[in-house]
Amino acid sequence: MSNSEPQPLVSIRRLSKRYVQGSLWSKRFEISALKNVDLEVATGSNLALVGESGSGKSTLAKCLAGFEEPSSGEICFEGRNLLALGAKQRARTRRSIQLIFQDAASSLNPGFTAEDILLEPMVIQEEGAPEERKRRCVEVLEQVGLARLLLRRWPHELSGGQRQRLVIARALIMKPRILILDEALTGLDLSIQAQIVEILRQLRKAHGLTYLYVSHNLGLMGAIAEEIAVMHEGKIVERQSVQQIFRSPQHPATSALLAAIPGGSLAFVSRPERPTI
Amino acid sequence: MKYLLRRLLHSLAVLFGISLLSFLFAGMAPGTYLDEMQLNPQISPATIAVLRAQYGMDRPLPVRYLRWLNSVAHGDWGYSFAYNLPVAPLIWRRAKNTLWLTLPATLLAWLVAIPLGVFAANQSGRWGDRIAEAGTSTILVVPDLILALALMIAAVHTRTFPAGGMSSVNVQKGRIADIHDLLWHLTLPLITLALGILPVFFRHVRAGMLEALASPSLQAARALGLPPSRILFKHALRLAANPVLSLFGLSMASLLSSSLLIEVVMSWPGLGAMLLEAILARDLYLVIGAVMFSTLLLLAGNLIADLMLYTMDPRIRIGPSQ
Ligand SMILES: Nc1ncnc2c1ncn2[C@@H]1O[C@H](COP(=O)(O)OP(=O)(O)O)[C@@H](O)[C@H]1O
Ligand SMILES: [Mg+2]
Repeated sequence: MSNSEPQPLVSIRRLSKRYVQGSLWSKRFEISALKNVDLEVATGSNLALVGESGSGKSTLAKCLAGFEEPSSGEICFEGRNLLALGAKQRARTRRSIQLIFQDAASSLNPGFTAEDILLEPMVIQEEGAPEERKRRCVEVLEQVGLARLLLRRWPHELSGGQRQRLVIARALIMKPRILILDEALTGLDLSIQAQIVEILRQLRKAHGLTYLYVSHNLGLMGAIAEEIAVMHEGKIVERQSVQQIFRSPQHPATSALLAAIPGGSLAFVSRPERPTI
Repeated sequence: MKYLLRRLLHSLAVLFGISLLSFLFAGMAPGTYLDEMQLNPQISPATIAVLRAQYGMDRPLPVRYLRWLNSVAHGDWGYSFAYNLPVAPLIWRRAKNTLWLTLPATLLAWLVAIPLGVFAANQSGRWGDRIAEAGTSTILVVPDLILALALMIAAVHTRTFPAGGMSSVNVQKGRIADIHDLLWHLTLPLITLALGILPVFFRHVRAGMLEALASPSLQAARALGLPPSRILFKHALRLAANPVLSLFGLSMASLLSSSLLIEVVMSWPGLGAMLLEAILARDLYLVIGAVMFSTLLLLAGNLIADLMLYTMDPRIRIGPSQ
């Protein structure tokens, strides 16, 4: 982290999110998915948000990406509180924060070709001639390691790994500052997982992207992130470097996550050439 | 292409099966047009015997069926006892009137249902949605008969539209005037019919759109910061197209039957009234012809829907690679 930019890219302060449950007929009750969460993400960092299912990780990711409206709190992006911005400004800023879901297939509209999917975000930018836009499509496609002949394919013609890469390519078109990857590697074959991790590593190097991984899998996150924030019951209970988390977990929730790693955690940490991206 | 060919062959098979079944059932039903004739003392038994031979009614069922197939091949679709005319032109003359009514009514219902359904889904749970929902639910529970009568009474009182029929007796001034006269007579039954089918279409579009709007691909589209109208009409409507197109096919299929009641109440000279007569008179071939014609329309409707699905949905048009 450079000292010339002390301001964090994202700074979340006292963020709360309550979901109201129940219908007309049953008694209403509230679920507090986020309870006064504070989180800072430095520019260029590589942070993983880890916690058991239902701990509020996805809710935090969705609030940050603008999919959900928080109940209270602040989300500052480059020093400006998103929640206080007008609709237009907010929509523009939102493009800098891209969220990638676990199920890539379902986040692609089956009625659009790969090319249309990539062109669509550029519609409102109103920049560049058609050839210029097309060139940009090919460019991002190459960045995620897909051949340009795939441009004419429909999503259902692509493999699972290709679809996930197309989703990443679509996010890149927006020239985002931060990518949030919510269980984006979950459910993929190990070899495809490795491919995508490698692509993400290269992208980060090339564009200075900031990553916020979201996963329940501490073992996997230990392999690809540099820092871990542990979530438990709507709060962030611990934040450490990967080495610290594995060596001396502070919170019982962290210990529980460590215990859930198959093959044990210590064997993993003691590996000298731990690959990080 | 193979997909469409298969659908076409399938349709032909269905048509063939329906013709066989209607012959079987008609053969099992007691009495024919000629049996009723026997009750008339003015017609001699000899005449009836001649007629019976002429229409082939003295032959066994399989022979009659083959003769009928032959007449289908010649474009006659059998002979009507009551009219003493080939069935096909008889039906076509009436069916044309029915289609004049049902085709524009269905089109009108769709033209209202699609934007209204999209609007309601987009407004889901808010006032616009509630009003659209309440309005269409009200129309849904009011029987078509009451709706038709209410509109007719209003028409008679305000003298804006004729209360029935398809044309005025004394107007015959030329093409333009004729068309004007037809449209004037058409308005009331058309609105009644369109109102009757609107709620079903509306609900279908709304449900399809709600599902589409909740899908992750729509969330992704919103995250791109696209304008709401583009998200609604380009992204969501394309997702909702499948169920809507399927219903479109079905709505084509019911073009002949949906207007039966309105034809009778508003004395529209369509197929409905003729079919009713033919059944009562046991005019065998006319009934079978009408059944075959509506089957044909049903299959054509489904084929059109398939064709549209085929062109609209790449998942059907192009199978997965490998
Ligand atoms: N749309 C929603 N409506 C109601 N409750 C929700 C909704 N989304 C999430 N929740 C609740 O919020 C809590 C946190 O969920 P989530 O953020 O998805 O957790 P995680 O991603 O860590 O598994 C859970 O108790 C979940 O049931
Ligand atoms: Mg989650």
